[in-house]
Amino acid sequence: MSAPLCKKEFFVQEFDFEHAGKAASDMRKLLMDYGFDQQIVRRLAIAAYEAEMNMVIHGFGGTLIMEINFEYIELVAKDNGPGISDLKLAMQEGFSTASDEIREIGFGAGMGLPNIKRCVNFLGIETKPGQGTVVTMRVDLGPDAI
Amino acid sequence: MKKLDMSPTAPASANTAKEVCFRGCIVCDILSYAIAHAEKGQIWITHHTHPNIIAVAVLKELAAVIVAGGRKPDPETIRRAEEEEIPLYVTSYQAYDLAKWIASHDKEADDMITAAGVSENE
Ligand SMILES: Nc1ncnc2c1ncn2[C@@H]1O[C@H](COP(=O)(O)OP(=O)(O)OP(=O)(O)O)[C@@H](O)[C@H]1O
Ligand SMILES: [Mg+2]
Repeated sequence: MSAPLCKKEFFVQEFDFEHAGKAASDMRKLLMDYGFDQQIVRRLAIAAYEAEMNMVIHGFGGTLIMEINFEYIELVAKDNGPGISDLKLAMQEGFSTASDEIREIGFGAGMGLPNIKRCVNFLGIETKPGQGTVVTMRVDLGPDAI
Repeated sequence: MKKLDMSPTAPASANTAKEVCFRGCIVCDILSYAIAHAEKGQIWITHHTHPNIIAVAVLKELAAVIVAGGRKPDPETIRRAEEEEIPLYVTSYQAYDLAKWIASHDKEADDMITAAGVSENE
């Protein structure tokens, strides 16, 4: 695989609800400044936001990495959190391990991963209990993407 | 596209418009539900007060956010709304009454320029 055209990293703090969403928002602004197609930016921004919130809420914080390649833009959300023990279950709409406190502020509907799935062309999750989670998401760039 | 006089609400900051152009409403308090189902140009009625409501409004390119039931947005939420240019309002109306009010008071908008930059052909 050839080197990415551009790579950016955004740091995400655990339970920092004041800044939560900032990584996705900064990434979205960057892609808009670069002039990418609006629909592509929308899809990436939603995927980034849901992955970021999962790191804030479930993953002990982490890093969001964006790479622009010729054919696609890749987002990798990487954390050293507790990992996901049953990935199939986690992918089901409605499944959530979020606490009551988290649900009270509007998270924990178990819709984040399904939302990501709908927005991206590729979703890969590597995780092991106790060893963190790496969520890789890609959105393909068509000929009119920029 | 519809136009709405926002008088049953109060703008959360001084330079927020008194009128909003919009295309429908969504009433919900689950953020990832709003992400899945809100549509560009809608007004979002919610009870949450924290800054993440603005993050969702930006992601979904919503026309406005109204915090219902007499709740007060956090100062950081107001700051973020100003920064992101999302019109944010508060109201003592309950969500259902507010939705009813909106449904019976919106008017056909002749111009298509809105705070969210929604155009008819998208
Ligand atoms: N980075 C992560 N680290 C550990 N567990 C995770 C991570 N991401 C997701 N999960 C697990 O997968 C479940 C489902 O995630 P999903 O994003 O779909 O829903 P949610 O975050 O619980 O709620 P919502 O996204 O609707 O606010 C979570 O409740 C959690 O148990
Ligand atoms: Mg989630």
